[in-house]
Amino acid sequence: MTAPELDERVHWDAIADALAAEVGTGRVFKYGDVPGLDGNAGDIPPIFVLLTVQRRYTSTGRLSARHSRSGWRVSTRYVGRTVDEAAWAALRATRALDDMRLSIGTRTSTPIHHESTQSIKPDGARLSGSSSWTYAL
Amino acid sequence: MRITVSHNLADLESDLRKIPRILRKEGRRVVQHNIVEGNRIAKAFASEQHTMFGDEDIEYPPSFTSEMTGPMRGEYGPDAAIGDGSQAEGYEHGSINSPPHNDLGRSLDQIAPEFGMDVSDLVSSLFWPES
Repeated sequence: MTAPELDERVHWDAIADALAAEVGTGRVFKYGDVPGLDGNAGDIPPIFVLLTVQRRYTSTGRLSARHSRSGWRVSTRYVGRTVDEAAWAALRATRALDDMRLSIGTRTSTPIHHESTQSIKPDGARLSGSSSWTYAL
Repeated sequence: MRITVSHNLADLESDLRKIPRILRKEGRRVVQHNIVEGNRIAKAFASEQHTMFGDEDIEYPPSFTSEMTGPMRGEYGPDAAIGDGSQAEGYEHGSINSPPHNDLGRSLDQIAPEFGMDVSDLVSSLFWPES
């Protein structure tokens, strides 16, 4: 194993910090941790962002199949009580992530690259849309 | 030993006549091969979620299909008209209640570099058909 920092929690924390700086602290959650959802205590926050980070496949040109880099995919779901609130969260998330370089361990990632966006629509008790992003470390 | 390659304008002219014909046939083959492979991979990811780890919407993976939509254009993914294909948006991109599966995104991670190389090989082969 040669690729740097493969603990997805470390990646999640770094991205959540960047998002919180734009959308506000206490507004970035993992799936299953949102107050008022999934049987959790409290009320559903008016505006919040759901963040998932997963390692993605990267091809290797080396016969040893060793990787010196690792590829990652970030999915953000921005949620609000109105389309406008969800769009606000989307814009802030975009500002936070677009072209941003993450510092993880001793390495700096490639600039975060936008992959795709889905429009905002009714989603349970709220309205939400989503975007995905990729980067390599 | 010496290898001598000689060409003249007649060869070039004949190559240029052949290229559009070869490109139409081989271009279609490259696109078709890649959408079939991309679909196979995405469908495998979907099967993992819906048949290995659970049986909810078990008809979702069979909705993954590929088709040519033009001479050198194709698409693959869940078809809303087949089985549980209409659930695709919720599974692919997730919702407030469930994280995204990214079956298509993950298949692209594998297919996109291969597709690029296939196209590059095809373009080279147009001028060096024997190689």
